[in-house]
Parts: sequence; C-alpha cells; structure tokens
Amino acid sequence: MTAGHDHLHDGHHEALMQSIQDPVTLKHLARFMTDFAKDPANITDEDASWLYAQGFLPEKIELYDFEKYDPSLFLSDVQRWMTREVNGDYSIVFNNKILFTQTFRNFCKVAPITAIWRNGRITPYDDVWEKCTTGQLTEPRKFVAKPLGGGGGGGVYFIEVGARKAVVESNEPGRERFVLPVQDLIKVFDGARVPFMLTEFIYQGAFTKALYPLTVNTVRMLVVRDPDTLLPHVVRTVQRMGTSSSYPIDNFSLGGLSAEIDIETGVLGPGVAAAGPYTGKLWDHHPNTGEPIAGQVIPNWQDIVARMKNLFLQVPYISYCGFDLILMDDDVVVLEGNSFSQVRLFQMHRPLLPDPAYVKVLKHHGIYQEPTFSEDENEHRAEGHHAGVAGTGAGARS
Amino acid sequence: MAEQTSLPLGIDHKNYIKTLQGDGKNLAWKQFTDVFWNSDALRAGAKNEFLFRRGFLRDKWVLYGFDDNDPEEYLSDFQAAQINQANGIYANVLQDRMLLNHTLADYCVVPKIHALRGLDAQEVALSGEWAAHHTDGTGPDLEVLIEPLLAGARGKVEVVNISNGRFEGLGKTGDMKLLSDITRDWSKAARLPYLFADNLQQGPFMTGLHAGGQNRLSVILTRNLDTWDPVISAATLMIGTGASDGRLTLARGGLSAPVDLVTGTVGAAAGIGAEQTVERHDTHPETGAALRDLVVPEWQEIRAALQRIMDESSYMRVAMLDFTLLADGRLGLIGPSQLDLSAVQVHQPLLRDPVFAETMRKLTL
Amino acid sequence: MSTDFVPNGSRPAGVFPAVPRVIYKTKRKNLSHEGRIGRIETVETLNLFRDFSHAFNAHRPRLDPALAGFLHNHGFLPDKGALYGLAPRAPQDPEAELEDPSKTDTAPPEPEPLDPWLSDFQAAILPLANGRYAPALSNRLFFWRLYTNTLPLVPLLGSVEQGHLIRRDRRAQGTILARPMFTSHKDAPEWEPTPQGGGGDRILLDLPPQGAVSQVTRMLVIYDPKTRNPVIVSAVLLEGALDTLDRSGTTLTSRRIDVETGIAGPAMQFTRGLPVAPEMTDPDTVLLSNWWLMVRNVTAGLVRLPVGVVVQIDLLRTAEETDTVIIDATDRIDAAGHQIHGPVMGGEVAVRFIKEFGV
Repeated sequence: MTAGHDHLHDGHHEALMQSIQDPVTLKHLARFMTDFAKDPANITDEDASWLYAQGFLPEKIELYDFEKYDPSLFLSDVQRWMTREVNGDYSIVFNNKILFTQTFRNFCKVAPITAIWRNGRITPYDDVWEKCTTGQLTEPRKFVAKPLGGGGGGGVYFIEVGARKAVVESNEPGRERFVLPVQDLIKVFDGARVPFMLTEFIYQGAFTKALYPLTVNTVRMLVVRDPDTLLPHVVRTVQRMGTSSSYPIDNFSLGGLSAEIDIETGVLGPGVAAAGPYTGKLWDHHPNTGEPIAGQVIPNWQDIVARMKNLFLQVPYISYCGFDLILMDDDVVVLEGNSFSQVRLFQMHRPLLPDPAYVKVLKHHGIYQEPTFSEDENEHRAEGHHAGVAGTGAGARS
Repeated sequence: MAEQTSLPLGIDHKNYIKTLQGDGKNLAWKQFTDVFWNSDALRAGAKNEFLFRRGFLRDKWVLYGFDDNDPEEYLSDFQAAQINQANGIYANVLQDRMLLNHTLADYCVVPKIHALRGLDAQEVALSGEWAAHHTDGTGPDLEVLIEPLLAGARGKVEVVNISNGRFEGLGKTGDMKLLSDITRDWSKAARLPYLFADNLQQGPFMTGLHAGGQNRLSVILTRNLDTWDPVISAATLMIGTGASDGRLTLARGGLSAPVDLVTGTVGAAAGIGAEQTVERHDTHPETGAALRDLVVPEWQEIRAALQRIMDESSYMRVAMLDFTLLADGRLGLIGPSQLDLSAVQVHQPLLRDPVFAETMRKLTL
Repeated sequence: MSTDFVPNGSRPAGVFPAVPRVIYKTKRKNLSHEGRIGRIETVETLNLFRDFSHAFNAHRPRLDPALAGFLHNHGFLPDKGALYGLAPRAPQDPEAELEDPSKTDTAPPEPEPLDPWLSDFQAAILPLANGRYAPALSNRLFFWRLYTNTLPLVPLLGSVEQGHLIRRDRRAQGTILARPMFTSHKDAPEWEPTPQGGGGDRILLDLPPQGAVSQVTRMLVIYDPKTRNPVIVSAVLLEGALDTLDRSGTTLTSRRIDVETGIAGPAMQFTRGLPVAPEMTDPDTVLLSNWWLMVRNVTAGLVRLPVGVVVQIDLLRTAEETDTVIIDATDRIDAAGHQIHGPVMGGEVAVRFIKEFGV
C-alpha cells in the first residue's frame, strides 16, 4: 500500500511540530494541546509521548491502524487544523450558509433557502414561508432549520408542515419532538440566540436511503486544487450512514458509519465507526438494517465525480474542501462544504498522505515540513534504512 | 429609502480623527496623510489644516462648498476609504470580482467568466467557449474584459475581441497562447491575478447619456443595524465625457448625476469646470443630450433588485456597487464600486441621512 | 521614571498607564481560565502555552485523562490537582468534535470556582503585565543596581559574567548566595525543573549570618488599578534550605501569613512538583514580630520607585531579629508556595488587577 510513499520524509511530523512559529499556527497548536489533554482515550505513557510529539490526538491510537500503515503517511491532527488556513479569508463561503447558497447555486443543486430567522424576525426568501404559515400548502412539505453559522450537526430541526400543523423533530435535548399550529411556526426558534436558516428538506435517492432509511446518508468528498494548474483533484470520498446511535443525523462523531468509496468505480468498502456502540469492527452490512455496504456500487458515480470536479473548477477562490453531498436518484445536492474537513472518517480506512497530489497541496500551503538532519543523524538514518527498516523510520513507533 | 430630516446628524470629524484607535485605523490614517500631502488638485491654501484634521482631501473644500456647508454632514475621504472594512471578514465578497459575480448572479445579470490567470499559476479555462478557442478555435465570438481579480488593484484593464481562436486588441492580434503569455507577464509584473469575463454591453438609456464609453449606475447600499432592514442610501449615474476617457471620476472630467431613489428621476449633473469649480449641467456639456429629468427605465424593478441583494445578503453591512443598464432594462454587474464619494456628496451630503449616519456611527467609521 | 514619583503614596497619572493595560488584543469579557487559554494569540503567549503544555505532558506518571484535561485546559500543572484539591466539576464531553468551533455559539461560560486560583500558565504570563518594567525584574543585577537605595536589599558582592568574576568593593560579612542573573519562566518554581546551581551568569549576594535552614518571608505584591498603590495579596513564611527552596522536588513548609496581623498560621509541608496533598506539620501559629517593618519597607520602597505591576519579594530576618533584608525580587510567582493554603486571586484588588491587565 505504500504507493507514493517515496516522496515522504520520515520524521516530517516532528519536524513540522518543532518548526511552528507563526501565531496562527501556534494557535492551532494550542488547540491541539487542549484537545490532547481532554482526550479520554486510555493510552500508555510511551504512546502519549509519541503521539504528542507527532501531533496526533490520543484517540488516533485506536482509530488509525498504525501497525499496518507507516504513521508518517497519516495527516496528523495538527496538520488537519492547519488545513483551516488553506482557504484563508475565503472560508466565509463555507462558514456562512447564505453566502454558500448564493455562490454554489450557480453551479450545482443546493438546498433552497426558504427563510432566515434573526432576532425574532423572519426574512422569507420566496413565498413558501407565507404559504406554510397561512395554511395554503396543498401537500405537506418538509424543511430543515439549522443555525446560520452552524456546524457539527448541533441544533438541527426537521419540520414537517401540513395544512394546519407542523411536526418538529430535533436533536436538542428536551425538544426531541413537538407539534405546532402552522401559524405559530416561528415559535420553533423560541429561545434561539443565533440566526437560523430554514431550507427545504432534500429527499435522498433510493441507494443511500436503503443503507439506513431513518437518516439522510451523505457522501463526504475531499477535493483540493493543484496550486500550479488550478485544476481540482479528488483526494478521497466516503459514504456516511446514520445508525441508531447517531439518529436523526448521520454524524460520524456521534456514532455514524463511514465507508470508503472507490473514486474510480464507486464501489463501497466496509463501514467503520469512530464513536458509539459500533466501533472496533468492519461492517460489511449495516449493523441496524442488515443492508449490505461493502461491494455496493453507487449509481452514476463517475458522473457525480465529474460534476463535482467541474463545480470545484468554477470556484478557484477555494483550494481545499470537504463537500457533503446528498445523492438523489437523478441528481446530486451539495449540502455544505467544510474548509478544514475532519480526516479521521477518511483515515480510519487508510492514510491520506500516500497521495502525492494531496501532499503537493499541503506543501504549497506550508502544512508539510521536510525534516532537516545533522550529518550524524543522516548517517545513522542511512544505516537504518540499509538494515531494512525503511518504511518505519524516525516517525514510526518502535 | 431612508427618511430625510433637516436635523444635523453629522459626525464631529475632528474629534473622530483624534480618537482613532487600532492598527488598521492607524494604517488607514497613514495612507490618507500620504494621499493628502501628495495631492495638489484644488489646493485649499490656509484651509489645508482644517481639511486634514477632519480627514478630507484638499479638493473637498470647493467640491463640498465648505464656505457655506457644514463638514459634519459629509462623509470624509478617510471614512470613505474604510467603508468596505465595515463588512469585516466578508469584505472579500466586495473585493474579489469573481466571488461578487457568483454572489450576485441571482439578482442581476453578471458577465460570464471565461478564465482566470492565477498568481504564479497557469491560466485556467472556466467556460466551454474559452476552452474551445484554445483547443480548436471553434468557440463563438467574444468581447472579453481583462482586469485584475481584486477590485482596487492597480493593474491593466483591457478589452479584447476573440474570434476563431485568435484575439484582437492590446494593439495587436494573435492566437490564444499569445494572449495567455501576455497576461502571464502582466500578472507576474504586478503580482496580480487576472480575470477574463464578458464585456457587458450597455443598453440605449446608458448609451444615450454619453456614447463614448461605459457609463455607470453606482449605488451605495447599507442597512439599518437595528432592524437589519436594507437601505438604498444613494444612486448616482456616472457619465463620461471626452476628457474622462473611461475613467469615471469627477477629477478626471467625468460627470455625476443623482438619481431620485423613489422615482428614478435624474437630477442635474455635476462636473468640475475649467476654474476648478463645480458646474451643474442639465444637458451633457459636449453632446447636449438631456440629462436632468430623465427617468431611469425600469427603476422600480432595479430598486427591488437592489433591496433584495441586501435583504438576502444579511452578512453585508455596506455595499458599494457599479452597474450598467442593459438593453432590456436589467441591471448588469460591472463590479465592486470604485466610486469617489465626492460624486455623490457633491449633490447631497451622505451624513444628512439619519439612517446612514447612524449606520456609520455604529460601524465606528 | 522616578521623577514622576510622588512619595506620599498617591501616584500621578503618567506612571501607571505606561504599563500595557491589556496583554491580549481581544476583549476581556471572558476572564475564566479556559477563556484565557482560548484568547491567547500573540507569539509570546502562545509559546508560553506551548512550554506549559510540554511541561504538563512530560509529567509521569500521567494523570487520569479527565483530570488531565481539566487541569491542562485551565492552565494548571499536573501536581495541582492533589496539591490544591482541584477536580473537574462535571464529566467532560469527549465526543464533541466540531468541524469549526467558530461556527458555534460562544457565550461566556458561567464563572467557576477555579477562577480565584492563580494557574501556572497565568503565573507564567503575569510578567508580561509589567511592560516596560520587565527588564528590571528579569535581570537581578540590573534590579540590584536600580533599587539598592530604595529597597532594603541584601548587599551585592559582585557577579559572575561569562565565566568572569566581577567583584564589587565589599567583603562578605555573612554567607555568599549565588543567584542566576537572568530570570526566565523556567526559573519559576512552578515550571519545569531547572537546577539553580548550574552554569550561566550569576549575581553574588552577601547574606546576613543564619543557620542552614532559613525562614523566608515571601510576599506577592500587585498594584491596585483603582488606588494605584502596591498591595500585598498573599504572604507566606517558607522554611527550607535557601538554595533549593524553589527547586522541583524540594520538600518545604509554608505558613500563610495574615497580612492584617502578621500572624503566621500552621505549617503545611509539600514537595514541589509532586501531586500530593500538603500535610500539616505544625498546627501552632507564630507571630512575626517584625511584620510591620517588612510591610513598611517593601511598600514604601515600591511606592517610591515602581517596579511594575506584579512582583514577588523574598525577605530574610537578619541576626538582629528586628531587621529584615530583601534577598530576591522577581516577577516569577511561586503559585504553589502561596496557594497550598487556598487561592490568592479572589480578593477585590486581585479581581480588579486581572480585569485591568487581562491576565
């Protein structure tokens, strides 16, 4: 599996950690340090020292296969935080959902905005809100309300509006399910301290629905831009699936599954979980539905990849993005983009750095540091490699 | 539209300048002083210090008629230079032509983007037409505006015609590769990315103002920061003259005419005369074309579109935008406005509008 | 700077504001320990946090993850859990890994009972509040030269600079005490162990005659932003060998001195750097006969010639019993020596100080 490994330098993680000096990266390092301290994973003192020096959080001992793969091939947690700077000031395109919608609707299907709630007032974006609250809907419609700046899946409301009543489900403790008369729909936002965005609910296609019908199961696609050609490169894609643990969303951090999608063929690998009851196992079948995962082929996959590449081509101000996609039967909806996508949902399957095109982008943005060694160290390292320990090197665990 | 009042609601400029704080403001002040002491247009003599201490450039004594008018009602040049910073992290939306083009595509006609020449990167084709001209010359004929990606950057602005895989413009003709090489050199020399997009054609109303170049409708959009309601604070027609040569500022010889925000009626145009005084024109001084009392066609639709931009872009506090009016009366985006606010305030001081003044105050401008 | 000084204790405007009022650029709305760490953004403070974190993670054996996360992310080194009796209020939320923390609602948290404690990270950034006075507090030779006639400093015998002994015109009357010339955060008692007797530049002080075991009176003095006067917020009587008093691994006792009365409370024994609760070794109290003399000498001197806004001063009684001399002045605060008796930053003056300087 070490294809492309030759371009990597053993010890690059430690070299990066030691080279950090600018305030922005130091801030990310501080974030890593506080995350490291509160990580509940039980690890040995030796592992703790090693992980800390390399920039990995303790949880990665369990989540990443450091026995099978050379640790220098994994994007570290510090590097992942540093990817946040790749898009620079243009991260606003993803962090503000209105701006995201305004920009991306030119090039792909996005969830249309119905209204924005802010400080107790509704700004309708079309006539749908009016129809909902005056009982003029001819058939029930479903909406999603999310904090305007939101992320990570918190505070999400699913609202089904009928002619007279609206049924609301959420992941907010104490507000799991409630019913409102349609004219009181605005009360969904009672007590909210941040602006909310109401968008139309996107119904996923049959393929992803079958995997776990109770959640919208999204695809996460990591796309980067070649700094020389400005052309897009798809680094990795996974299919996320909700479970009984992550319901009502497919959030990986809350116990959902991730299965790698072969970028060429659209074939799914087995699912894995990072949290909740389904961790520590490869799931060829969904643990709740029994539906097959591994070996399934996503319909129209090549078309989806081509569309996403074209989309990315059209927004050159973005260089790094983890897109969340909803696959419909005959279309794909771009739900949102993440400027510094989580990587564990990719790297739990296999590391990211064997991809030279990806590493090129990291190098361009200063997220990869080639180590410098003294002459003595070089000699010592050369001997080590001759002795047959190539592939482990300074970055590897003994 | 903001409710007008005769109450003076201006800003004590002298005190404002005295109490500037923060690195950004200090840098802006340094830039202002550079410009101020390097400028020699309309020297105001002993009034220099008065203007300097209040953040107005030297030409404003005459332009704003400070012999009679109260400076507190006028937005200073120092304040004007910082308006986009009021949008905080969203300033880029009004700085990057491409992002603005994408953002406003649903509210007005935006020019089609064909290619980008990135900084230290290859030219990337973003339209099928462009790619076709590059590969086999089969694309449709195009009139393309080449300009720096970032508004306000001092780079080349040129129009080229492209047909059958060849360009004509910049004083020469050649194949697409030559055009690409030329713009690569521009980009390297000025350290600027360049954008290639359709050159929008102005409609008959705009051509009727002055046929020699692209005239503009410049608008200032703000919002009431209490209610978050959008406000159109000013709309001004910038009209070319033989002297202005496409550079639409009063100082360069251009004319500005105010547009009534309710009715769309055009007021008398202002320009700077030979004696460096403000002159008012009911008709174009060169062509004699009527200006005053013209009504901007489809004004109510234009107004609604402008309102909708601010209404739906709730992250924006202030936006200054330049448009043209197309043949069908719709707004066509030119880009982030490079408007010199004297073109607006020569007609009406901005801070006399209480909503605008309050917004500026809240944005600590 | 001394020309600005008014000897009656009131300070003219102009002296105080020269010190940077806030060491962070951001708003001071969240002054909790976690808020403090969240707000660090200058290279200097971020590097201090990196050093703190390295020191924390070098501690062996490692703490239970929940306690480690709690202490580290509030800026306390691992020994402080047991030493101060600090523990997390509620279980941490380990699952929360947001894509972007800036996307969440960041209302300031409720004040927590930890706030009155001076954290180790806080102690490390405190010297930054001294602004232009920092050089005097980071170079002992400089300090001794500047303040010899203002504060009752123990006489300076000379210095060792780049291996050369530079004598002053004085013969030692008592014991010679060598101290590092430069302070750094690594000299702070709470920080990672740094041997006091190693190489590097030193100053040589002439200690009054004394026994092997010394009683050092250690005062933590801060300026009250409201009255602009120096205030002793904590004082302790430390007992241990002088040259190892601040060294990691040293066992010593500390008695809390009641600043109002000069009565030193029961002796508590602890070992620096060890996560073990302090133990009472002597329940009796002791009255410091010369307490008011010490207070007067220190505060009068600090009023006459300001040294910054936070300073720790060590005093030693001389053989005459009634007299005292200052044997050290530093901006590196011995948080544990003071706080094994309880937090020191809970008082009105300390809260005003923290609000003023953002530390």
